Amino acid sequence: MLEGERGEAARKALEIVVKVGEALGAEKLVKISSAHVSGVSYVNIGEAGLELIRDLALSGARFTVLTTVNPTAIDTEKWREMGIPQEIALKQLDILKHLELMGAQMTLTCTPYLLHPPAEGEQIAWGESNAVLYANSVLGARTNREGGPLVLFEAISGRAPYVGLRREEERKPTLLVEVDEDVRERLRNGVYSYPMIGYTLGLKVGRGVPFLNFKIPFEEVKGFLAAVGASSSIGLVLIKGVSPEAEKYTEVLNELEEIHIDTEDVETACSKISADYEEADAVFLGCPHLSPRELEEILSVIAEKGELKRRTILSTSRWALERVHRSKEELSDKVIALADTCIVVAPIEYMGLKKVITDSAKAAYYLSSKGVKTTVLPRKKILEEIL
Amino acid sequence: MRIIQARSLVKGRAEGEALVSTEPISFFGGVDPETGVVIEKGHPLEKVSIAGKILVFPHGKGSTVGSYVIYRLSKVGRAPKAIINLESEPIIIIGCILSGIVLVDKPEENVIEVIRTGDKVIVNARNKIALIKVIRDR
Repeated sequence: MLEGERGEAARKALEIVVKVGEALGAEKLVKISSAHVSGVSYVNIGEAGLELIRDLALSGARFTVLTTVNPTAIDTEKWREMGIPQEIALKQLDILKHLELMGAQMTLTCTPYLLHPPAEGEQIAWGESNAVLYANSVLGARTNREGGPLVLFEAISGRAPYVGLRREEERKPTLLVEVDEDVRERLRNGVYSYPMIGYTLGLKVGRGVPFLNFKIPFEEVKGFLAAVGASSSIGLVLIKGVSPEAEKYTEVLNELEEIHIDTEDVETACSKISADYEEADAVFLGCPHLSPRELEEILSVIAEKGELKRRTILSTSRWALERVHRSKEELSDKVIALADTCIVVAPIEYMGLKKVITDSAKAAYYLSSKGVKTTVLPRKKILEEIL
Repeated sequence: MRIIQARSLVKGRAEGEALVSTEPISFFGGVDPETGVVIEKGHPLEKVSIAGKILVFPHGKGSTVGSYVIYRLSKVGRAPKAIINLESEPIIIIGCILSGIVLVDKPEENVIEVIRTGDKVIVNARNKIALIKVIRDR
């Protein structure tokens, strides 16, 4: 790494990974097989982030492992339709150009696990909390919640500090989480949704490795984990019947401290991100990005409905969008399917969003921090009654 | 004069006036990347510029985008000369390595109490063990 014109950039990247490792108490670095770069929206990283990414690329830095990229501030094709000023779009495209120059795959999605699922036990370096939680909890891969810039240097050096969730010892459950029967019943009745439970669990537990003694339907895991990521610093949830590592701990569960999630917990947690939805100006689905199957299901419902009551924003990956074919004529003109972005990282002030109904507790959390009023409802209810 | 040992994270030597914050600093959203002025509401250093100072604070907080902000500050010449933390975390470490800002942490004494804003401080972090020299005029 010390030779050639890329020498200096590669050397600096490795120095950063080593120093961060030292500060975190890592005994060594490990090789990683893939990286996922988060923190690429111009709205979040601004001129400072653009400058660093550009300088890195122009200094010859190149990614040495499979490197995917998180959503950006714009749909790279439909940004004008989104109402985004050219100035912001050009800055965003400049960031992307330099990530591509470094060798990134321009996936622009928060669901890299759908495109390139890592294998069980594989060491990876992923940013984006929902992707980290999914890779660890569902696929059994190993990564910490790496910060935006750190992932860049791990992707360049191909190495990461051997700390935290990379170590077997730190993947053991620290707490047993039970879900009360009242909560389960409200889930069955469609009063609560899995993202609401995830958000509540994150707030109540905060950190560590919770063991969830409650089986979650597979298609709900993604939204559930994303919500855990939004309300906590947790990077791994061992879910009974879902996580590959969950089974080996069944015999030690009675030794763990136990907490219960009851209806009061859910009400308290969700009161911060969900209010009455009268007069909402838009529905948002797609945080995390919709999979091809989810997109197909939602578009079928929309096509059947004909006219919609509200503007409906869907966000997904370009990869998924290319796999689901619907003509414009089939769909109401109130629906817009965005790729490469989502309204959590886009400059929503140009999109006229004031009150939004969503199925995503994560989206609700971030939107409400930007002053948008939000309501979280189960997706089924949104599709049947709200659209 | 007092000499305090610490751990060198980004090597170098820096000399300047101390600026001490009792609270953690979030560079993203907490410091203006163009001027180096602290903009976090209610922060003990609110409206104070960190440019050219020996900046002393417990640790970083907030978004990892903070590393980019430190880098930006150094590009526009508004970065601190050195940072002394009780314990540095990745946001600060990455920002300082990229920007060549001298960084030390884990001091032998509680620098937040020992060093006062306005003290003259020399940080010699050329070796693994850094020496922080604190000189007070009055």
